[in-house]
Amino acid sequence: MLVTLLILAGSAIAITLLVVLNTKLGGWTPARIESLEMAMATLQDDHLGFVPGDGVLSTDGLAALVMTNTDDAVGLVAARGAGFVTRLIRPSDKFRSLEATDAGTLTLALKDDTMKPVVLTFDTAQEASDWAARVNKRGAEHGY
Amino acid sequence: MDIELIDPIMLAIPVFVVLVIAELIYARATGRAQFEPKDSATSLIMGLGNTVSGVLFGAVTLLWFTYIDQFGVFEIGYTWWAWIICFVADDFFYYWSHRWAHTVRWFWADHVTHHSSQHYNLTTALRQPWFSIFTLKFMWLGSILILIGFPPAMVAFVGGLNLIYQFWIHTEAIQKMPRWFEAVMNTPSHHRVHHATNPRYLDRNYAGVFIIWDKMFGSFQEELDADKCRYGIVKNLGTYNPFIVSIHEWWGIARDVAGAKSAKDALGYWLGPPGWSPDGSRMTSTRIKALWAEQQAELPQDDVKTTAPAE
Repeated sequence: MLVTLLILAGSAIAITLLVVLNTKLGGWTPARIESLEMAMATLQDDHLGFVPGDGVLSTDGLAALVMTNTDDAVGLVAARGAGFVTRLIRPSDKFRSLEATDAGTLTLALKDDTMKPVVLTFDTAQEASDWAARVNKRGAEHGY
Repeated sequence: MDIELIDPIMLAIPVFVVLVIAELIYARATGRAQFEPKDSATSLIMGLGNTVSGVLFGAVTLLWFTYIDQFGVFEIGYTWWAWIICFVADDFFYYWSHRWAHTVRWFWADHVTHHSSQHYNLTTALRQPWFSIFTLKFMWLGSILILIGFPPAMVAFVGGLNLIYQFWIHTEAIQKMPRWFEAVMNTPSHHRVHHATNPRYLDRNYAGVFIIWDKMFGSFQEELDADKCRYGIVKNLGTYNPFIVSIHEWWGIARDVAGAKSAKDALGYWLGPPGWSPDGSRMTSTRIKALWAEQQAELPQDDVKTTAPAE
């Protein structure tokens, strides 16, 4: 038992040291969505057949929303570490919250345990509110 | 003869650590590999959790293997040729077990954790599941060699060697091995394809040690320069939380089965391929590949990605 605990403790220390070394060495670049076209291309890579309509890029480059003209879906791209995570939000999907603020942010929390809430920043509160309404409308029509 | 063999994986762990450090330094120096601290932490913690899970649940497996040992058809001892046959046979069964781990959602729920990183480096090799016991695979697939008559200790040992072999192939630092080696053995290039989500690469290269199984059973795909690997899973995770990474697909099955409208649908959610749904609203790998093939066929010939292998 003692040996097992020692091995566990040693492993935990080794993991910590490896992560510290990784942090110190760097060698990775935090992902940024450079343009709306990049967001669209990412969605097309991840979701075969996705036909992008218009969209919006968060001013910090960390997230984007892209409507699709072919169905009721909304494409979401979020920067995560060095890569991107995408979701196709369909009318049948549920939100935990969809909230625009006066500060010009739109927080979108999906009912998806593997996805943290995504915050998009806009130039104006009106723009945030408009996009919240657009995303909301697609879902609301289908009773989310 | 009943002998006690060491666990080769425990002996290999210090080597794993040294190689991860070496690859970290190589990545920083050349930019030919990428490590992201949060992702690395998740992978390493999951590796540790897998070891803990092995200790906690190992007794169940050990008891089972000890019990079925008496039903072995042959009595195969620890002869040199038995080791070789056992190693190759174990790799053959690994191939099928791994193939089903990608095509049956019950098994995918366990294996998806290993594929959940969007990076491909040596820490990814250590990103292993915590709840493999739930698949109950040890009771049938893991029992075949023992029922044939190979000693349980030998089966466990060669299984450990198989996993150790697979550690070094989780890297972007090595492009290609010599041609003869690529032809017979699983390599970093072959396994990069396996971890990629590009439609062409989905559900390919299930091999553990010998790539020949994929060539024999039609699941081989060469890595192509024109189709650079994009790693991860079809629906990438937006979390680094190891517990969520471990359980998310199990939870997904439970939720889908609970909400199923019929027993047939429930069975489909449980034992169907990952991405299966009664109304076809989700995408299985087979559908993604078919859709992609349709799109490729419609493209002008000049736009179709070449089939030249990576150098």
